[in-house]
Amino acid sequence: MTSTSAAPSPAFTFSASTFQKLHPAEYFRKFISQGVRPDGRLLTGFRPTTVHYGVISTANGSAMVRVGGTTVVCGVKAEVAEPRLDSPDQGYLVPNVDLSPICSSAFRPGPPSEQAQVTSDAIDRVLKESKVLDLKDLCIEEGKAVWSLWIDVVCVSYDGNIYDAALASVMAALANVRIRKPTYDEGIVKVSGAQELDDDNSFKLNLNRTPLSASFVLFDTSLELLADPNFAEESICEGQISVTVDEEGQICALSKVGGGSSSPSILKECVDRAKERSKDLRALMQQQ
Amino acid sequence: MARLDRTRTANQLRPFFSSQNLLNRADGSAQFDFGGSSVLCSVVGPAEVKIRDEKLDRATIEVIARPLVGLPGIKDKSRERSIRETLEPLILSGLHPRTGIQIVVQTMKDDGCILSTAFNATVLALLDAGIPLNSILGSVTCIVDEKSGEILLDPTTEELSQAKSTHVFVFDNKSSISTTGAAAMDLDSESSPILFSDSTGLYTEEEYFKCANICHKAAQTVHGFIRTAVQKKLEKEYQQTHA
Amino acid sequence: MDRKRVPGPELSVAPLVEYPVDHKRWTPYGETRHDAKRQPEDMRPIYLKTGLINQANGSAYIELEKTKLACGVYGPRPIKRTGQGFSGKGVLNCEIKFATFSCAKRRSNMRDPQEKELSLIVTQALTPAVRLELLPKSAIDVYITVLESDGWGSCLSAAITCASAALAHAGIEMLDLVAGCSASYISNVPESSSSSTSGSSSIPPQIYMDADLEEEKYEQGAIVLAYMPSLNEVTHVLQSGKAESTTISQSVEHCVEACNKIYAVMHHALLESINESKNNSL
Repeated sequence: MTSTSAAPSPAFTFSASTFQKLHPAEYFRKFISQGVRPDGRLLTGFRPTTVHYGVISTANGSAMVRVGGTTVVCGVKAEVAEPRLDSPDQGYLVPNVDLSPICSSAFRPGPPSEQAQVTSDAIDRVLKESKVLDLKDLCIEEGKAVWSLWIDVVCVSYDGNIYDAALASVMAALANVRIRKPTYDEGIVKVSGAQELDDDNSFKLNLNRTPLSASFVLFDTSLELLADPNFAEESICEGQISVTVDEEGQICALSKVGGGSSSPSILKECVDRAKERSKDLRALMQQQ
Repeated sequence: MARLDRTRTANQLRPFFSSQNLLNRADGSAQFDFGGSSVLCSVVGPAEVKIRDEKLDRATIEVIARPLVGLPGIKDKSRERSIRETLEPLILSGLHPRTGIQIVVQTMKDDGCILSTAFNATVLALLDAGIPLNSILGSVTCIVDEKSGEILLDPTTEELSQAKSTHVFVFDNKSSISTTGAAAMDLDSESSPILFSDSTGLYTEEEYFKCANICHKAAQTVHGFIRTAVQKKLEKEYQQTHA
Repeated sequence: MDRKRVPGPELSVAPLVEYPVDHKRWTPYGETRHDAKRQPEDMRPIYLKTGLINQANGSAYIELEKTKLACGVYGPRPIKRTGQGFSGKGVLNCEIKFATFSCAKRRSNMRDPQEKELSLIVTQALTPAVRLELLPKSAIDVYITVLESDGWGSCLSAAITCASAALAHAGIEMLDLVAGCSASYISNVPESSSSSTSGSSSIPPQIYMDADLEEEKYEQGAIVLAYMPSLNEVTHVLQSGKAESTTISQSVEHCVEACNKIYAVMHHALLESINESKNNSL
């Protein structure tokens, strides 16, 4: 924002940035009443998004996603583990989001914050409940060995809407995964160490669908919907709506938390906009 | 089609049960059962709050969710957040600035729909503790069955494992009070404001709003039940004090 | 078990890698370095950019080919622990965290001894440069996340460089920028042949600047130097392994030279970020 030093005037005046610090909600309301947001976006606007694949060579699959000021890096590492007794032919998908203190002063060092846990849980549920991947594809030897995919998302820079960014990076990284074909021999899993990876010595994951999400916040009494909230907007607004849809327009997850009641028409609008947004995002991801 | 327990129709809830004021060291407590699922909730507050969590203009609401067995994990953390953020606009926390309200939700028996049961138990416990609320809420869960595609209300654990999608809804009773005269109107999908919704699985937009509608109707029964529960408790208290 | 994360299997291991018979592994006994384009005294090209984390007071991102690190600086902010009474000097607190996918083997989420050790070294290397006496009762937190690591020496030196660029970007008063550089001593002669001639000490090892992971496997020793180029002062030296004093002094000279080059890169990155913010505000 433009910040000018307060001009000496008889009236009681602030510069814009002082006003923002003293009355963040009121400052924000002034913008919303004009139909724009402090960063220049329209209420329905999403921030510019970029996706880069294969940024980490030590991971089996990786992706970096930037949504405005939010940067996340997702790395997938495949390791061998023993399957669960009740599902001897199914592998593991273990998504975790790390909101380390590097990305914002809102996070402290130590165990994952509530937000990190809630985001990890939401992504875990989407991956499992909407059957993104058949866990049987990850079987090496039934009852003995399966692949465990450790999907770790590291947030490098936090500026709101972590769920959308993290989910997009997880899906991009999963699409980028290449695992060397294993051979099972008397309790030992071996992979070939050949330099070049091709379809003969490695395989890609067979993803059934690519769920992508769009999140919105509800701004106080007027119940205005703001798409893709940044950090400041997230801390002012109370209600959060996230809609996750796949390429066929089926909903994979929908959550509305906090912020009083909202009519189904608002949710309908969110679903429609999420469909549009995920289409754009999907096109962006397929470009590369 | 008969449901797995063979006693209910698709949009029938399991029998409710509730009892308030079970714990005598807490300011308010309640147990709520949906058939085989049971959640006990205690409320302490408005009480002192840690300086770190103190809010100058309202009460700080803290929710602690405890699982049936073992120690809490991230599922419980999500549950805590859902309950807390849903209650925050409901509780008139501005009346008790710089205090804390602690809500503990303990699962007692688990046969599906724990989140819904917890919501209902919480609101009863808050009423028991005398915390001012601007409305009460009622929560209902439903699933879309994998095979039949039918919407089943208040599923059991067994039914949940066969679900294509699961939907948890919370509705407040504001809409049903304001338009009691036009009861038919507020059962219409357009006028059933959703307070909280959490759905997973795979489903279409149409299915979702159908579920919302069915759950809204079912939530009216929950609202009614909570009302009678409170009424009965107050009557009893009145008799005791004036006898 | 970790209850604050999505639980995975209790135990999982990387699969055993079986190399084909004709697989050629790099050795230092040939003509070239692991990266055939480099001469022994060459560093990898550095990409450094400041100001990528908008919530932080200062931030920097550094890339030396495969080594990738991000650093965020928060502060000066009030010191958290009030129990220790008044302190006239500020506290610089550096923390290095490896992302779980940053190394060949998956790392755990817990803070391990190596992270603690590296954090301490970075703190020691940067503290002499920061004017902490100007910041009583305050703390500066420097968080470094290693996204990908290609050898610990280059990782540590990159962390020092990146952190000092981020501190400068945060506008924290310093005596000078600190550049970090690493060198490895690698013998060019296979051990068996050198001992058969006249003892290993007769042939001094080759000094490889900024060695990568493959090269580190053959190192006899290594040095990591933190240096303030415009003051011509060293803030930290970490020498490990066996080497003759001539080799060490020679490698210190090499490192100082390389640090001067890194200094130019840091200078450029900082100037660029100032120009960018100027353009944005116009």
